Amino acid sequence: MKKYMLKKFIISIVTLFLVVFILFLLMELMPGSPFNNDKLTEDQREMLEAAYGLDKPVLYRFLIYVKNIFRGDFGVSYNLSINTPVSLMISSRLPVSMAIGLGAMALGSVSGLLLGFFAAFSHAPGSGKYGKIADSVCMAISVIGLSVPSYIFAIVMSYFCGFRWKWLPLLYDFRKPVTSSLMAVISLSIFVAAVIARYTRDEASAVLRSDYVLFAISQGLSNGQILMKYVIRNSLMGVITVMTMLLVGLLTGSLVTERIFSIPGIGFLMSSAIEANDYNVVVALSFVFASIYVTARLLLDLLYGIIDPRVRVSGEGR
Amino acid sequence: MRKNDFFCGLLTGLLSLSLMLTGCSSSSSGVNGAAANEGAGNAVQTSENTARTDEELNVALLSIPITMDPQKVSDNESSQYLSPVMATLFRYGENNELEPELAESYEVSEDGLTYTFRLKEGLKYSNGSAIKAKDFVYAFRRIADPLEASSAIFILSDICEVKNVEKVSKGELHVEELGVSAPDELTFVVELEQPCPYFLYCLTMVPTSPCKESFVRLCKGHYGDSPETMLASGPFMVDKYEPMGIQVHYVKNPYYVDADRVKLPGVNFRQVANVQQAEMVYQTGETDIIPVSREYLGLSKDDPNLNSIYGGLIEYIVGNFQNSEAWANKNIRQAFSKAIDRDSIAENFYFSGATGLTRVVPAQFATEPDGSDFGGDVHMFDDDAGYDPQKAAELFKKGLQELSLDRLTLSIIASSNNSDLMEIIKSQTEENLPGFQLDVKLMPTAQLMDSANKGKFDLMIIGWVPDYPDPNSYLGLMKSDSEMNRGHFENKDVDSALQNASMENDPQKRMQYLHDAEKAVMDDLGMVPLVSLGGSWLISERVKNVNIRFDGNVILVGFAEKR
Repeated sequence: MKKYMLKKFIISIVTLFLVVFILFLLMELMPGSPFNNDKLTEDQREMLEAAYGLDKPVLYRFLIYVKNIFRGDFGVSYNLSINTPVSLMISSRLPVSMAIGLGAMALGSVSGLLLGFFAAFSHAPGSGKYGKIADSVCMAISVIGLSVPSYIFAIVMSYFCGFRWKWLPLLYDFRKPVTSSLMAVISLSIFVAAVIARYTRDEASAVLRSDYVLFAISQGLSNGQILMKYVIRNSLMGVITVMTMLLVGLLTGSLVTERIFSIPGIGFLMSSAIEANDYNVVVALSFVFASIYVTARLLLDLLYGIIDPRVRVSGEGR
Repeated sequence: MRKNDFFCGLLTGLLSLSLMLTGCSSSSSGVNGAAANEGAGNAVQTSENTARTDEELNVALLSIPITMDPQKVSDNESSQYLSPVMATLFRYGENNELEPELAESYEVSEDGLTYTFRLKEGLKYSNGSAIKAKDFVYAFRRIADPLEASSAIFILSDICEVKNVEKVSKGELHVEELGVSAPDELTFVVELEQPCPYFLYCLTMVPTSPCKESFVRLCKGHYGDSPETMLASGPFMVDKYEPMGIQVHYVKNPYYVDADRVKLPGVNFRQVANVQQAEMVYQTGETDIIPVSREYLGLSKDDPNLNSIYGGLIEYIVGNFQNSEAWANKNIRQAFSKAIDRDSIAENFYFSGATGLTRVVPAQFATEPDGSDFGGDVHMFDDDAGYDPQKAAELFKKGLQELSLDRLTLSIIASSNNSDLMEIIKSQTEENLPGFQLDVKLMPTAQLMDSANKGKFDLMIIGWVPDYPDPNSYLGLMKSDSEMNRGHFENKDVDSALQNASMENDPQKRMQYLHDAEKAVMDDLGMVPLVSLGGSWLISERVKNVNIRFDGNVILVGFAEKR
């Protein structure tokens, strides 16, 4: 088990290191200089490049950069917000994206689970014609949620709820954070709900068709008892994997939705940084995204290892 | 079964945690906001921050400030965000005339090289400490200090040249050698290298606002990073700001010199992602003021709340006189200019608010001493540059013969968001000049600046926003030693006329020199002017006394009122 964990851990570290290296190289290859203010003189430009160490060789800068990352120092912004530490920019924006992401996750999970269990029970053996119809309706809803991107919902909601009917503020406002992020939360939660509904339905209906549940039914247990006793517990294994990865996706912000509602999150920061050639911000954000993904993946792998011995064994076998 | 218990627990925990966190985060941002308010409030012992959202002025803008350090501002966006906070010696009044703000009076020496300003008495910053003449000295030194690498250096070196600025900014002289001094607490003296008749306009710019040295030192390199590390001298002070945040919130500064004229309890500037969004928040009433861009001008042109300023931006094409042999040929340049139908571009591409331009200085931009419009005669140089496809074809043919060519291909670089305009220019020039081909190269701004700096282009399109309402703000672009002279155009007549204008004390004679300079540029086609534009804003009828700065890009809300 220790060997398995160590292996997974080393793989994660190497992945992160590679990510940073590739990002660094890509930034290097991008045309243009970060100091593109046309009011700077040539002397000033050279002085700035020297001050930020941009006149040094690539490899040297990369090593310095990695060293600094370990100390939580991602450098300063060159032109989005001159001389502001990147870590400060990210730390002021990450909580906003995370709050909205978690809100969307919570809303999406609850509605997805409800929809999924309802569909599973509807198409369980012996549920009749109406059950089949109810199941189809549930799944149609989830197909729409899966196939229509969340920004479309965002635009539609922003037009009707914000613009036409004036129920909710159109844009994020720190003076009223809850109401002004509601539309973003709802539009981001739809995809989550759809994915979770599908997984829950599949997992739950497999459980419902299993011998022990059929036996329980034949014993005369009610639907509620079956749900509580067997279905929820046994079908959540697969669902939880999906949920973890969805959560990571939501935490890292949404490039488009954050723009639609002008939410000061890291998705918005990322797109602005790319537009402005702000190397340090782009690399730091990509690193943060990558670390969140890699950490989540690692935790999942470790959890599998603890829970399911087969995973551990096959891992060690290789 | 135990595994399932574990999963159930995990799921329940996760869900409740996420619900808790959503709740927390909403309230925690509220707490942060309150803390920030408290910080700013502590400094001045005021409770203005309880003002309700709808009593405050809400403004939507398309960008966020790139810096809130006043001495480092060189862009309109940051100027906009700092304008409510920073007072300067002079400001623009209701009709964009200069009026003293922190200055009581001033004198200019006979040679035009020394300006002595007397400050008003009892001036204070938002924390109640006194504004002294030495704070202006420190502000100027910060701009010139090479260690600060301020991009606002152009104010002291390019627009007007403050004594020793070149050597100081290169580190060859100590900052204390810069030509600024404070003989006493209320007197501020600036020495210039050469006369600069428009110097007072420089003193309306945000970087020249007073800056307290002891406060900056206290901030330890974080000056301007947060409300706590800012010191306001203007009508408002920042009470909520985070670097890269999309909202800046201001409350009234009770220590402002004209605080009795400030009517609003607070102002909220926020960024919106695009013009559609701006239009939507304006229509729902969430926002009182929005900028109107080209795409929406057509829709809003009959709106009584539309306020426009003209002449605040010109778009022009420069050719590379150094690298392009063809462009060095005057017939080719003139043919190119005469092949472009500017009026149709202005009408069909920019909708309203734009006019075709065949001279350097647009109309409604600068006034002469007798009150007439410097650029009022819009057709003055039509013979040199105006649309005439027949003449264009003749000149082009002649130019090709002189260069011994049958065909000519030039490339033009432009920013990616200019693609439509480039298509129009390409089709017009290729249609009107037989044998001509224009290769359009669109690129992101950063790459465009890089190509421009390295001189890697035949032609490029440039938009120029003037820094001050004087013809020199446009004509200075064509001076052979100007950093902004991207095409390296050189003309002795232009240089000498501009030099004479800067030395001339008589305003009327000075204007004549500037006219001479413009004529020399246009006779030699140093640039191909395209259109002049301005800035347009929709200002709700509930709001009064908002000034739009002369270039149309910045709104001044210090004395605004809201019903």
